[in-house]
Amino acid sequence: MDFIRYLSELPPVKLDRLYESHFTCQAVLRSLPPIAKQYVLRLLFIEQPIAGETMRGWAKPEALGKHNAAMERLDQLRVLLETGGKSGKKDASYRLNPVFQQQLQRALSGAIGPPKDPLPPALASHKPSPADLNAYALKQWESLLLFLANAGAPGGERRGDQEPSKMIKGLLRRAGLMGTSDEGGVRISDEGFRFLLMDLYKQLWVVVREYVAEIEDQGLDGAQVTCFLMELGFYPLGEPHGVNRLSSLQKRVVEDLASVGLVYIQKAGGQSCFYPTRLASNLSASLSESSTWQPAEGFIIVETNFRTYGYTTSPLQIAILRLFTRIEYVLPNLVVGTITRESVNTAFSNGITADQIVAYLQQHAAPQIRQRVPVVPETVADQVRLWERDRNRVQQSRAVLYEEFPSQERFAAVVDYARQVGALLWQNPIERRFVASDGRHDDIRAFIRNQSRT
Amino acid sequence: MAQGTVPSRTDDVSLMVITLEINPYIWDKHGMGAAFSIQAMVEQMIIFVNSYLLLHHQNQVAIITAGTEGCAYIFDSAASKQGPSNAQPAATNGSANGVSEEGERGIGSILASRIQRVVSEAEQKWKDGGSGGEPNRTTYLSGALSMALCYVQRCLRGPKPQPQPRMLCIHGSPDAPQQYIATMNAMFSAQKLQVPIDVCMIGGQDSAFLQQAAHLTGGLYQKPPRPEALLQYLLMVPAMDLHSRQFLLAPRPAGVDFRASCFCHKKTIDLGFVCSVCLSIFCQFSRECSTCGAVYTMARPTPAAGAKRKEPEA
Amino acid sequence: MVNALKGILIECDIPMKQFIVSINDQLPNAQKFIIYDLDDTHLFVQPHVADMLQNKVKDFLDKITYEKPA
Repeated sequence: MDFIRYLSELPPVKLDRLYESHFTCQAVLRSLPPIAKQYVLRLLFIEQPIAGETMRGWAKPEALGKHNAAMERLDQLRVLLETGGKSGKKDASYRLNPVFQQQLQRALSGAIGPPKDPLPPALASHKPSPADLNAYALKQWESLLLFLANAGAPGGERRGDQEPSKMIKGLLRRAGLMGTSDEGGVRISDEGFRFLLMDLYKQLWVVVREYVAEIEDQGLDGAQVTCFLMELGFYPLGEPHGVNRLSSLQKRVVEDLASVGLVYIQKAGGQSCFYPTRLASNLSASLSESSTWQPAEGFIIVETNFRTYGYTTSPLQIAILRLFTRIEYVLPNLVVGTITRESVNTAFSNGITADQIVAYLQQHAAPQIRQRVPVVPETVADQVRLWERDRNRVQQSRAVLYEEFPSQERFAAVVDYARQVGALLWQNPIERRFVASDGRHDDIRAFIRNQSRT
Repeated sequence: MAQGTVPSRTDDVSLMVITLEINPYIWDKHGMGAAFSIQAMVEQMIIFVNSYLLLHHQNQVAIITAGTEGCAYIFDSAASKQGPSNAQPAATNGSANGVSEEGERGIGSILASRIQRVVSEAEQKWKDGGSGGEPNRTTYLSGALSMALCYVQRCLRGPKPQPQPRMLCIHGSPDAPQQYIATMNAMFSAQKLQVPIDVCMIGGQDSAFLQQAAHLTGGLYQKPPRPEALLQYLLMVPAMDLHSRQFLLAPRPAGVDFRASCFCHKKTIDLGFVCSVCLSIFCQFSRECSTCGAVYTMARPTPAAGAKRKEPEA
Repeated sequence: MVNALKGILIECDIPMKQFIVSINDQLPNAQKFIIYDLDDTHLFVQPHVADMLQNKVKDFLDKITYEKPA
């Protein structure tokens, strides 16, 4: 997960400062691989260092690979610190990062929970219900995605909905999701198409990551922003929080997040407070790689005759379906389409892969067919993949053919050299011919010249 | 009886049902009260439950108390996450919190207050001398196991995706022979449902029933030598989710006591009579099996010739 | 002395290779582009025919696929 890589690249001092917030500690714990989580729990209440040998003994002998991967991740994130040990890893002993340990202990004993602010009376009467918050979050997020999807429509016509703010457009461009088109307007890039088909968490994290990078570029403290985002992830849903106790940087973050749909700001009589929506609450949940939670009800039914039925009225979902199916009928609550070779080829030429299409259909499958195994019929999934392979049926590469070697040994030596530099494409020892890619031609020519001299 | 195998999963989400024993006899009378009070146990349980819920946002936990007067559900993480208004249909499988949203209090205080209430009710009834006659000193372990399994079944029929269920028994009192049949039945149901039962014995003695339960369902049996450090033992062994158990070593059981109890007197026996129809076990011969009603027309055989020896499994 | 020839290596499956060979045969001698027929699945051709070949293959595949009219 990119967030983890971001954390592991921070200098140790900054990382330790981040760990002073127990929310960050909790979020980091959740993002670890399962075995690493267990190790952290075991060491949570132990003060003395534990020998590396002991920890290796916790894993079964055949699971040594997983053990090493877990230890490496813990080391990267400075959750586990090495103490003592002279000759490298042999007799190293480890203990948990003291700051991390302390914060986690406090969090687990239930001594601290998320801050609760009393609701100002002016706003109490208009407290939004969870349904309102959901609707708001969905509307904001969908308008962002719709803007992206419409930019990919032929002609890039605006559908008259509200355009997202300049900041969001900047973020999208920064993430590589949009580029300038030939006429000078903006159009969606290949990466942008892939983005549309990703699941909600990955999309959220791409946007959030770019936002943090943008903040850092402006010279402000990216670590503090990350901390605040982690904190948001643990706030209970639908509870108000006062804006006044936030720092100025955090206030700005809250406003920016409101335009994306992560929080909902309510202003009345000079006071304002914000409510985290479901998108924010699930920020910390999505850190681990295996999150299978579905944000919304599925709506697509795929049949074995390649027909797709999408029970939706959302323009965003229709736009996404239009990317790779041929829409045939649009009814008040239903969109009927067919997955054809042509429609799928259009998607491929936009940079979408077959696996992404199949994954999208699986994730958004309607509840009636979710029980079916497999969710997407094998005929459809296989055929989409075959169509993708069809595009790569003939592969061309610029290359150089070498022939007429005086002896077999010379030939074998040059072929070995070509294989070592990774340029060998084809060889025939009987006729003493081989083909290597064009990029390394100079190196190979130099090698042959050297050879003929000796 | 073959060792139960635990079905493996690719992720570490699980639903844990914990049965806590709150029998006032073991907390006061068996000398544990001094070293390890029920308050300490409750505090450590709270930390353990919090850390378990923190491991994964979809983890769920339910806690059932087993006492001398009955069993009760005292906590259900899935229900408390629903929030005050149940308007959203799809939000039931979890917010990201490790702390419940119920009211203004955290999970710790809710758990503590509920357990306290159940314990004081049990102590009150104990002081009042029970419902006339000899007060019941044994814990309804089988009742707690059955309630836990019913809860698991209910979750398994709920919306997908479902977490993998498992159970944790924290038990202190010795085995009650009159509960042998019920406990074994609960155990076989757990085996069928593929729900591993982990056991943590905090009393001074082993429990043959729970040893067999852990062995057959593929769970882990643990008897910490120092019960006041219960939390560390809990964090080491039962905290392992079913995915990680494939990769981490677990304490091996020293030996499982497979002796059965007879159905007529509830005594533990090594050698006995088995009905060939329903396989119920008796310590002495009788003409008619009391479980299935099969009638044996043979004359009373000599013990050497007719007794089927029940061998302890290797 | 070792000879080095610049060109394009084409890797494909057997039917497509035969198709490319047939395109080559239909062209007049001056425009033939296959330098060497390496084996059943590889061809070495002159560099300038890359785009032309790609288009011809795409047209051929489109021709042999049925698409329901809109």
